[in-house]
Amino acid sequence: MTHSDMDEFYELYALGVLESEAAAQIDEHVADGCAYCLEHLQDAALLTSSMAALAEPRKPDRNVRKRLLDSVGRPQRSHNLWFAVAALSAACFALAVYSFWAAGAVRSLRNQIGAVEDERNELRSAVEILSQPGTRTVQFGVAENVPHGRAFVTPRGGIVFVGSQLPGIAADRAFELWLIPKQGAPRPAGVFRPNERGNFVNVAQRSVNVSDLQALAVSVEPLQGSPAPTTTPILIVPLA
Amino acid sequence: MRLGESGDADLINKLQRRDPDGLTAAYDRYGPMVYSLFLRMTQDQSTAEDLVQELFLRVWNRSRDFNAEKGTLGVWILSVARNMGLDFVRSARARFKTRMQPLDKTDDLYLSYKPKEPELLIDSARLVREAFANLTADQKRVLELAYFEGFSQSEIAAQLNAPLGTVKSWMRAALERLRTAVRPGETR
Repeated sequence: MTHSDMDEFYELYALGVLESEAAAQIDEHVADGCAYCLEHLQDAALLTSSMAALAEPRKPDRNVRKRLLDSVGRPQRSHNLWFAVAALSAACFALAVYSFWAAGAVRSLRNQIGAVEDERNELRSAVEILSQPGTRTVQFGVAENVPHGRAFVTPRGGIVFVGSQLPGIAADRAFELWLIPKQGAPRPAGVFRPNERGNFVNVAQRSVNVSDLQALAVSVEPLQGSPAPTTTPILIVPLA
Repeated sequence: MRLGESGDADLINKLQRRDPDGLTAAYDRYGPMVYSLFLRMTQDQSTAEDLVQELFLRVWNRSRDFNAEKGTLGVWILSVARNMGLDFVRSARARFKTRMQPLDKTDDLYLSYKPKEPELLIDSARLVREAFANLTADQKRVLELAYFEGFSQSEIAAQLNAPLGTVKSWMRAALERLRTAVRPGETR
């Protein structure tokens, strides 16, 4: 195949839709350091990358940026005004101590209230789901020493996943519930950790077509959850 | 937003010095576009946000692979973003065993992207968007199915219930029009 034959293939290659035979020929040229192919592939890469702009422009939530920067450590800015900073710091120290103490107390109270509100909201959601007509109950695990419990699945898409005896888990890990469709990728349905007695409740209010689901699964993930499972599931609950 | 010019070179230098300012700037420059792409592909806000975070952590961890003199970040980021999005929508149960599929074989190519001229990615993106608006409905559909869904031309033909030859012809014509918009005067 000559270069002029290949001319119309470069964008198809960059898009990943070129037939394997033609793609293999381009691969060979690239492996041989063919400057013509490299140049055209780079142009094609620019074109296909620009196609990202065909998606409707949306802005991510501010927390995404914060979370990202937190995960790598925020920039520490240096400057030359150490003396002024030290003097100002000394002047503010007493106020800061007091503020810190007061803020800590308020934060602690807020956290407690927040936790109670979260729990209340979760229970309210669970009750709403459980009271819907047509709620289906699936029991999993029967022995006392293995993970066992029940999944309540409603036709309108809510899922309450409750049980006990999940294995121990590191402090920086959590369990994540997955909806396994009959076709397509698993979808996340909430992150949870068992309480000190090993019991857990996870409520997922997701618009899901229940008839398209074949199973629920649980895997161990980072605390904030993952967009797709990163570990082998420790529990699979068939729904079919 | 310069592609491969001082803007990206500056970013790359900062990233290689492990300066979080570099990551902040990279996020501010490319984050919204990447997020829009993930949202379009996954149709799920929280998944899109997680993928954005994962992608930029990858930028952070792979900063040593970039070359400030000849490399550009934008093309690489958007190419990897598309791969990650496709990986997410395509692979189902396989993801229980392995987190990420290997990057596309073109990864190294994008890392060494060397612009021939001071092209602007944002300009290129705008030109592509404008040209896309003028495509026929069939041409738009085949491009969307290939780019956002990762379907092969045969799969697109089956999906649209159209002959494979027709799909290929729509695809060729569509890409030709986008190419002409981005690089006017170039004919093949």
